[in-house]
Amino acid sequence: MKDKLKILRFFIVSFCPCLILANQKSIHHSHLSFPPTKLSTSSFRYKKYGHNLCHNSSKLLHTQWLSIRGGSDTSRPIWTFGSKPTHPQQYQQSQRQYQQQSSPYPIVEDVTNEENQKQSQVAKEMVDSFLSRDNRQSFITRVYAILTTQLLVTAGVVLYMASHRNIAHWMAFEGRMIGKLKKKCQIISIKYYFTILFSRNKYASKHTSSYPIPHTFTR
Amino acid sequence: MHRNILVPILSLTLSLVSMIVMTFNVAARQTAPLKWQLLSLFTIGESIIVGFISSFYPFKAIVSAMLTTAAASGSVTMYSILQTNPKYDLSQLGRALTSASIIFALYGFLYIFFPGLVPYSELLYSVGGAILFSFYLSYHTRMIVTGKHSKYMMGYKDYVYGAMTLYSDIINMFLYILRIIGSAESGSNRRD
Repeated sequence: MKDKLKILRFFIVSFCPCLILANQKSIHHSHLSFPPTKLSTSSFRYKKYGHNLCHNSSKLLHTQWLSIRGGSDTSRPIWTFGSKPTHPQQYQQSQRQYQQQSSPYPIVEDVTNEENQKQSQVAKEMVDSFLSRDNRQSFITRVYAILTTQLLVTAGVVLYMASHRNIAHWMAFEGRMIGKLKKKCQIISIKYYFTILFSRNKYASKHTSSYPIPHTFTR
Repeated sequence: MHRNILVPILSLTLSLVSMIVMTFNVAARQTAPLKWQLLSLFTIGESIIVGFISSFYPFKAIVSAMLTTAAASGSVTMYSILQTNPKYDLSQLGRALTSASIIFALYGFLYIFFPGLVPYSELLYSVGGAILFSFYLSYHTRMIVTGKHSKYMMGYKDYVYGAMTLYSDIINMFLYILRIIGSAESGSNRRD
Protein backbone atom coordinates (compact mmCIF):
# COMPACT_ATOMS: atom_id res chain seq x y z
CA MET A 1 0.00 0.00 0.00
CA LYS A 2 2.81 2.37 0.92
CA ASP A 3 4.61 1.64 -2.34
CA LYS A 4 1.50 2.40 -4.31
CA LEU A 5 1.06 5.63 -2.50
CA LYS A 6 4.66 6.53 -3.16
CA ILE A 7 4.24 5.86 -6.86
CA LEU A 8 1.09 7.92 -6.96
CA ARG A 9 2.80 10.71 -5.11
CA PHE A 10 5.73 10.61 -7.51
CA PHE A 11 3.35 10.75 -10.46
CA ILE A 12 1.42 13.68 -9.08
CA VAL A 13 4.45 15.65 -8.05
CA SER A 14 6.56 15.10 -11.13
CA PHE A 15 4.03 15.05 -13.98
CA CYS A 16 1.33 17.40 -12.85
CA PRO A 17 2.83 20.71 -11.71
CA CYS A 18 -0.31 22.49 -12.80
CA LEU A 19 -2.30 20.27 -10.55
CA ILE A 20 -0.05 21.18 -7.65
CA LEU A 21 -0.48 24.83 -8.36
CA ALA A 22 -4.21 24.41 -8.52
CA ASN A 23 -4.17 22.43 -5.34
CA GLN A 24 -2.06 25.00 -3.51
CA LYS A 25 -4.52 27.60 -4.60
CA SER A 26 -7.37 25.45 -3.41
CA ILE A 27 -6.02 25.52 0.14
CA HIS A 28 -6.90 29.17 0.37
CA HIS A 29 -10.41 28.62 -1.01
CA SER A 30 -12.47 27.19 1.76
CA HIS A 31 -15.62 26.97 -0.35
CA LEU A 32 -14.55 23.90 -2.29
CA SER A 33 -16.97 21.02 -2.51
CA PHE A 34 -14.42 18.44 -1.42
CA PRO A 35 -12.04 18.54 1.50
CA PRO A 36 -8.84 20.41 0.75
CA THR A 37 -6.04 18.02 -0.10
CA LYS A 38 -2.54 19.22 0.57
CA LEU A 39 0.08 17.90 -1.83
CA SER A 40 2.88 18.89 0.42
CA THR A 41 6.09 16.92 0.81
CA SER A 42 5.35 16.46 4.49
CA SER A 43 5.34 12.94 5.83
CA PHE A 44 2.05 13.66 7.58
CA ARG A 45 0.22 13.77 4.29
CA TYR A 46 -0.39 10.04 4.06
CA LYS A 47 -1.35 9.88 7.68
CA LYS A 48 -3.96 12.50 7.15
CA TYR A 49 -5.52 11.32 3.96
CA GLY A 50 -4.33 7.73 3.98
CA HIS A 51 -7.17 5.73 2.46
CA ASN A 52 -8.79 8.71 0.77
CA LEU A 53 -5.86 9.74 -1.33
CA CYS A 54 -6.95 7.95 -4.52
CA HIS A 55 -10.46 9.23 -4.14
CA ASN A 56 -9.29 12.77 -3.53
CA SER A 57 -6.84 12.78 -6.39
CA SER A 58 -9.50 11.51 -8.77
CA LYS A 59 -11.75 14.31 -7.58
CA LEU A 60 -8.92 16.69 -8.15
CA LEU A 61 -8.49 15.47 -11.67
CA HIS A 62 -12.18 15.83 -12.37
CA THR A 63 -12.68 19.25 -10.87
CA GLN A 64 -9.50 21.23 -10.66
CA TRP A 65 -7.91 20.17 -13.87
CA LEU A 66 -11.05 20.86 -15.81
CA SER A 67 -11.58 24.22 -14.22
CA ILE A 68 -8.04 25.26 -15.13
CA ARG A 69 -8.80 24.60 -18.75
CA GLY A 70 -12.02 26.49 -18.58
CA GLY A 71 -14.61 23.73 -18.80
CA SER A 72 -18.14 24.38 -19.79
CA ASP A 73 -18.95 26.80 -17.03
CA THR A 74 -19.58 30.13 -18.72
CA SER A 75 -20.16 32.03 -15.48
CA ARG A 76 -16.52 31.79 -14.48
CA PRO A 77 -13.53 33.15 -16.39
CA ILE A 78 -11.12 30.71 -17.96
CA TRP A 79 -8.14 31.49 -15.77
CA THR A 80 -9.75 30.87 -12.39
CA PHE A 81 -8.57 28.06 -10.18
CA GLY A 82 -10.67 25.78 -8.09
CA SER A 83 -14.09 24.32 -8.57
CA LYS A 84 -17.43 26.05 -8.45
CA PRO A 85 -18.38 27.53 -5.10
CA THR A 86 -21.00 25.42 -3.44
CA HIS A 87 -23.69 26.17 -0.95
CA PRO A 88 -22.45 26.40 2.66
CA GLN A 89 -24.79 23.60 3.77
CA GLN A 90 -23.40 21.30 1.06
CA TYR A 91 -19.93 22.17 2.12
CA GLN A 92 -20.68 21.41 5.76
CA GLN A 93 -22.27 18.10 4.77
CA SER A 94 -19.25 17.15 2.73
CA GLN A 95 -17.02 18.16 5.60
CA ARG A 96 -18.95 15.87 7.94
CA GLN A 97 -18.70 13.01 5.45
CA TYR A 98 -15.02 13.59 5.08
CA GLN A 99 -14.50 13.57 8.83
CA GLN A 100 -16.44 10.31 9.11
CA GLN A 101 -14.36 8.74 6.35
CA SER A 102 -11.04 9.95 7.64
CA SER A 103 -9.08 8.38 10.45
CA PRO A 104 -10.42 8.73 14.01
CA TYR A 105 -7.10 9.99 15.29
CA PRO A 106 -6.63 13.75 15.65
CA ILE A 107 -4.91 15.37 12.73
CA VAL A 108 -1.70 17.21 13.49
CA GLU A 109 -2.89 20.35 11.82
CA ASP A 110 -6.15 20.34 13.78
CA VAL A 111 -4.29 19.89 17.05
CA THR A 112 -2.00 22.82 16.30
CA ASN A 113 -5.00 24.90 15.26
CA GLU A 114 -6.74 24.13 18.52
CA GLU A 115 -3.63 25.01 20.48
CA ASN A 116 -3.27 28.24 18.55
CA GLN A 117 -6.89 29.09 19.21
CA LYS A 118 -6.47 28.38 22.91
CA GLN A 119 -3.31 30.46 23.05
CA SER A 120 -4.90 33.35 21.21
CA GLN A 121 -7.91 33.16 23.52
CA VAL A 122 -5.70 33.23 26.59
CA ALA A 123 -3.71 36.13 25.15
CA LYS A 124 -6.92 37.99 24.37
CA GLU A 125 -8.20 37.48 27.91
CA MET A 126 -4.90 38.69 29.31
CA VAL A 127 -4.92 41.77 27.09
CA ASP A 128 -8.56 42.49 27.99
CA SER A 129 -7.85 42.21 31.69
CA PHE A 130 -4.73 44.30 31.26
CA LEU A 131 -6.56 47.00 29.38
CA SER A 132 -9.56 47.25 31.62
CA ARG A 133 -10.13 50.74 32.91
CA ASP A 134 -10.06 49.80 36.60
CA ASN A 135 -6.65 48.17 36.31
CA ARG A 136 -5.26 51.12 34.45
CA GLN A 137 -6.68 53.61 36.92
CA SER A 138 -5.25 51.72 39.87
CA PHE A 139 -1.90 51.45 38.06
CA ILE A 140 -1.78 55.22 37.46
CA THR A 141 -2.83 55.93 41.05
CA ARG A 142 -0.10 53.67 42.42
CA VAL A 143 2.55 55.24 40.16
CA TYR A 144 1.70 58.76 41.22
CA ALA A 145 1.39 57.82 44.89
CA ILE A 146 4.89 56.29 44.84
CA LEU A 147 6.23 59.26 42.89
CA THR A 148 4.75 61.74 45.37
CA THR A 149 6.34 59.87 48.27
CA GLN A 150 9.70 59.77 46.53
CA LEU A 151 9.58 63.49 45.70
CA LEU A 152 8.57 64.40 49.25
CA VAL A 153 11.46 62.38 50.70
CA THR A 154 13.89 63.96 48.25
CA ALA A 155 12.60 67.48 48.85
CA GLY A 156 12.94 66.94 52.60
CA VAL A 157 16.52 65.65 52.31
CA VAL A 158 17.49 68.44 49.88
CA LEU A 159 16.04 71.20 52.05
CA TYR A 160 17.59 69.72 55.20
CA MET A 161 21.01 69.45 53.58
CA ALA A 162 20.68 72.93 52.09
CA SER A 163 19.91 74.41 55.51
CA HIS A 164 22.59 72.34 57.30
CA ARG A 165 25.64 72.80 55.12
CA ASN A 166 27.93 71.11 57.61
CA ILE A 167 26.53 67.70 56.64
CA ALA A 168 27.64 68.12 53.03
CA HIS A 169 30.94 69.49 54.24
CA TRP A 170 31.39 66.46 56.48
CA MET A 171 30.50 64.19 53.58
CA ALA A 172 32.97 65.88 51.28
CA PHE A 173 35.96 66.42 53.54
CA GLU A 174 35.68 64.94 57.03
CA GLY A 175 34.30 61.48 56.62
CA ARG A 176 36.85 59.80 58.86
CA MET A 177 34.38 57.30 60.21
CA ILE A 178 33.49 56.47 56.62
CA GLY A 179 37.11 55.70 55.90
CA LYS A 180 37.27 53.28 58.83
CA LEU A 181 33.97 51.77 57.79
CA LYS A 182 35.32 51.31 54.27
CA LYS A 183 38.36 49.41 55.55
CA LYS A 184 36.19 47.27 57.78
CA CYS A 185 33.83 46.54 54.89
CA GLN A 186 36.75 45.52 52.70
CA ILE A 187 38.12 43.18 55.36
CA ILE A 188 34.71 41.65 56.01
CA SER A 189 34.00 41.12 52.33
CA ILE A 190 37.37 39.45 51.73
CA LYS A 191 36.87 37.27 54.80
CA TYR A 192 33.40 36.35 53.69
CA TYR A 193 34.59 35.49 50.20
CA PHE A 194 37.29 33.15 51.45
CA THR A 195 34.96 31.55 53.98
CA ILE A 196 32.44 30.82 51.27
CA LEU A 197 35.13 29.56 48.96
CA PHE A 198 36.67 27.07 51.37
CA SER A 199 33.62 25.95 53.28
CA ARG A 200 31.36 25.49 50.24
CA ASN A 201 31.92 21.76 49.92
CA LYS A 202 31.92 21.25 53.64
CA TYR A 203 28.60 22.95 54.26
CA ALA A 204 26.85 22.06 51.03
CA SER A 205 25.67 18.66 52.20
CA LYS A 206 24.47 19.57 55.67
CA HIS A 207 23.59 23.24 55.78
CA THR A 208 22.13 25.90 53.55
CA SER A 209 24.37 28.13 51.51
CA SER A 210 23.65 31.15 53.76
CA TYR A 211 25.05 29.42 56.86
CA PRO A 212 28.61 30.82 56.50
CA ILE A 213 27.34 34.40 56.80
CA PRO A 214 26.70 34.38 60.59
CA HIS A 215 29.77 32.18 60.92
CA THR A 216 31.87 34.94 59.37
CA PHE A 217 30.41 37.80 61.33
CA THR A 218 30.41 36.13 64.72
CA ARG A 219 33.98 35.01 64.53
CA MET B 1 42.10 68.81 54.24
CA HIS B 2 41.50 65.19 53.43
CA ARG B 3 38.90 64.71 50.72
CA ASN B 4 36.74 61.62 51.12
CA ILE B 5 33.56 61.55 49.05
CA LEU B 6 32.60 57.98 49.73
CA VAL B 7 29.02 58.70 50.81
CA PRO B 8 27.95 60.50 47.61
CA ILE B 9 29.69 57.90 45.44
CA LEU B 10 28.15 55.08 47.46
CA SER B 11 24.68 56.64 47.13
CA LEU B 12 25.16 57.16 43.41
CA THR B 13 26.31 53.55 42.98
CA LEU B 14 23.36 52.28 45.04
CA SER B 15 20.82 54.20 43.02
CA LEU B 16 22.46 53.25 39.72
CA VAL B 17 22.65 49.56 40.60
CA SER B 18 19.03 49.44 41.76
CA MET B 19 17.89 51.25 38.60
CA ILE B 20 19.89 48.88 36.37
CA VAL B 21 18.55 45.82 38.19
CA MET B 22 14.99 47.09 37.89
CA THR B 23 15.45 47.87 34.20
CA PHE B 24 16.93 44.59 33.11
CA ASN B 25 15.26 42.13 35.47
CA VAL B 26 11.51 41.66 35.10
CA ALA B 27 11.26 39.59 38.29
CA ALA B 28 13.02 42.29 40.29
CA ARG B 29 10.53 44.95 39.29
CA GLN B 30 7.48 42.72 39.79
CA THR B 31 8.33 40.58 42.83
CA ALA B 32 6.79 42.10 45.93
CA PRO B 33 9.53 42.44 48.57
CA LEU B 34 12.41 43.00 46.20
CA LYS B 35 10.87 45.85 44.22
CA TRP B 36 10.14 47.84 47.38
CA GLN B 37 13.65 47.27 48.68
CA LEU B 38 15.17 48.40 45.40
CA LEU B 39 12.83 51.40 45.29
CA SER B 40 13.86 52.41 48.81
CA LEU B 41 17.54 52.05 47.98
CA PHE B 42 17.09 54.05 44.80
CA THR B 43 15.15 56.84 46.51
CA ILE B 44 17.55 57.13 49.44
CA GLY B 45 20.59 57.09 47.17
CA GLU B 46 19.16 59.69 44.82
CA SER B 47 18.03 61.89 47.71
CA ILE B 48 21.50 61.88 49.24
CA ILE B 49 23.26 62.61 45.98
CA VAL B 50 20.80 65.36 45.01
CA GLY B 51 21.03 66.87 48.49
CA PHE B 52 24.82 66.75 48.30
CA ILE B 53 24.88 68.46 44.88
CA SER B 54 22.31 71.08 45.77
CA SER B 55 24.12 72.00 49.00
CA PHE B 56 26.78 73.69 46.85
CA TYR B 57 24.21 76.20 45.60
CA PRO B 58 22.58 79.02 47.56
CA PHE B 59 19.34 78.24 49.37
CA LYS B 60 17.37 80.74 47.30
CA ALA B 61 18.51 79.10 44.06
CA ILE B 62 17.47 75.67 45.38
CA VAL B 63 13.98 76.83 46.31
CA SER B 64 13.45 78.65 43.01
CA ALA B 65 14.76 75.59 41.11
CA MET B 66 12.35 73.37 43.03
CA LEU B 67 9.43 75.65 42.22
CA THR B 68 10.43 75.91 38.56
CA THR B 69 10.79 72.13 38.32
CA ALA B 70 7.40 71.62 39.95
CA ALA B 71 5.75 74.03 37.51
CA ALA B 72 7.53 72.55 34.48
CA SER B 73 6.89 68.93 35.40
CA GLY B 74 3.28 69.71 36.28
CA SER B 75 2.63 71.40 32.95
CA VAL B 76 4.39 68.63 30.99
CA THR B 77 2.41 65.97 32.87
CA MET B 78 -0.88 67.76 32.32
CA TYR B 79 -0.10 68.16 28.63
CA SER B 80 0.75 64.46 28.32
CA ILE B 81 -2.40 63.37 30.14
CA LEU B 82 -4.82 65.72 28.42
CA GLN B 83 -3.38 65.43 24.93
CA THR B 84 -5.49 62.74 23.26
CA ASN B 85 -4.61 63.55 19.68
CA PRO B 86 -2.49 60.64 18.35
CA LYS B 87 -0.72 63.07 16.05
CA TYR B 88 1.04 64.54 19.09
CA ASP B 89 1.48 61.24 20.88
CA LEU B 90 5.02 61.27 22.27
CA SER B 91 5.08 57.58 23.18
CA GLN B 92 6.57 56.80 19.76
CA LEU B 93 9.57 59.07 20.31
CA GLY B 94 11.55 56.45 22.23
CA ARG B 95 14.27 55.89 19.66
CA ALA B 96 14.66 59.59 18.89
CA LEU B 97 15.02 60.35 22.60
CA THR B 98 17.55 57.56 23.02
CA SER B 99 19.70 58.89 20.19
CA ALA B 100 19.39 62.46 21.51
CA SER B 101 20.46 61.35 24.98
CA ILE B 102 23.42 59.41 23.57
CA ILE B 103 24.56 62.52 21.66
CA PHE B 104 24.07 64.61 24.78
CA ALA B 105 26.06 62.20 26.94
CA LEU B 106 28.86 61.93 24.36
CA TYR B 107 29.08 65.70 24.20
CA GLY B 108 29.37 65.84 27.98
CA PHE B 109 32.08 63.16 28.04
CA LEU B 110 34.00 64.95 25.29
CA TYR B 111 33.91 68.13 27.31
CA ILE B 112 35.06 66.34 30.48
CA PHE B 113 37.97 64.42 28.91
CA PHE B 114 38.96 66.85 26.11
CA PRO B 115 37.95 70.29 27.38
CA GLY B 116 39.27 72.32 24.45
CA LEU B 117 37.98 70.03 21.73
CA VAL B 118 34.33 71.06 21.64
CA PRO B 119 32.74 74.45 22.24
CA TYR B 120 30.94 74.38 25.54
CA SER B 121 28.57 76.67 27.34
CA GLU B 122 27.32 75.71 30.78
CA LEU B 123 24.06 77.53 30.24
CA LEU B 124 23.34 76.00 26.83
CA TYR B 125 24.26 72.52 28.03
CA SER B 126 21.95 72.86 31.03
CA VAL B 127 19.11 74.19 28.88
CA GLY B 128 19.58 71.25 26.49
CA GLY B 129 19.53 68.80 29.39
CA ALA B 130 16.39 70.32 30.88
CA ILE B 131 14.60 70.18 27.50
CA LEU B 132 15.72 66.59 26.91
CA PHE B 133 14.46 65.43 30.28
CA SER B 134 11.19 67.30 29.90
CA PHE B 135 10.68 65.33 26.69
CA TYR B 136 11.58 62.16 28.58
CA LEU B 137 9.07 63.06 31.28
CA SER B 138 6.39 63.53 28.68
CA TYR B 139 7.30 60.25 26.98
CA HIS B 140 7.24 58.25 30.23
CA THR B 141 4.00 59.89 31.35
CA ARG B 142 2.43 58.96 28.05
CA MET B 143 3.65 55.38 28.47
CA ILE B 144 1.98 55.24 31.87
CA VAL B 145 -1.33 57.00 31.29
CA THR B 146 -1.91 55.86 27.74
CA GLY B 147 -4.99 53.91 26.67
CA LYS B 148 -5.42 50.66 24.82
CA HIS B 149 -5.20 52.22 21.36
CA SER B 150 -1.63 53.24 21.90
CA LYS B 151 1.22 51.30 20.33
CA TYR B 152 3.47 51.30 23.39
CA MET B 153 2.45 51.21 27.04
CA MET B 154 3.86 50.18 30.38
CA GLY B 155 2.71 46.93 31.97
CA TYR B 156 0.29 47.27 34.87
CA LYS B 157 2.62 45.33 37.19
CA ASP B 158 5.48 47.76 36.60
CA TYR B 159 4.10 50.63 38.66
CA VAL B 160 7.24 50.82 40.80
CA TYR B 161 9.42 51.01 37.74
CA GLY B 162 7.10 53.62 36.20
CA ALA B 163 7.38 55.77 39.32
CA MET B 164 11.15 55.38 39.25
CA THR B 165 11.42 56.53 35.64
CA LEU B 166 9.24 59.59 36.29
CA TYR B 167 11.19 60.36 39.44
CA SER B 168 14.56 60.15 37.68
CA ASP B 169 13.27 62.44 34.89
CA ILE B 170 12.05 65.03 37.40
CA ILE B 171 15.28 64.83 39.40
CA ASN B 172 17.42 65.29 36.31
CA MET B 173 15.27 68.22 35.24
CA PHE B 174 15.68 69.73 38.70
CA LEU B 175 19.46 69.36 38.58
CA TYR B 176 19.73 71.04 35.17
CA ILE B 177 17.38 73.87 36.21
CA LEU B 178 19.43 74.28 39.38
CA ARG B 179 22.56 74.57 37.26
CA ILE B 180 20.89 77.24 35.09
CA ILE B 181 19.65 79.24 38.07
CA GLY B 182 22.88 78.73 39.98
CA SER B 183 25.05 79.92 37.11
CA ALA B 184 22.74 82.92 36.58
CA GLU B 185 22.91 83.83 40.29
CA SER B 186 26.68 83.42 40.46
CA GLY B 187 26.95 85.65 37.36
CA SER B 188 24.81 88.33 38.97
CA ASN B 189 26.84 88.09 42.21
CA ARG B 190 30.06 88.57 40.24
CA ARG B 191 28.59 91.66 38.53
CA ASP B 192 27.60 93.10 41.92
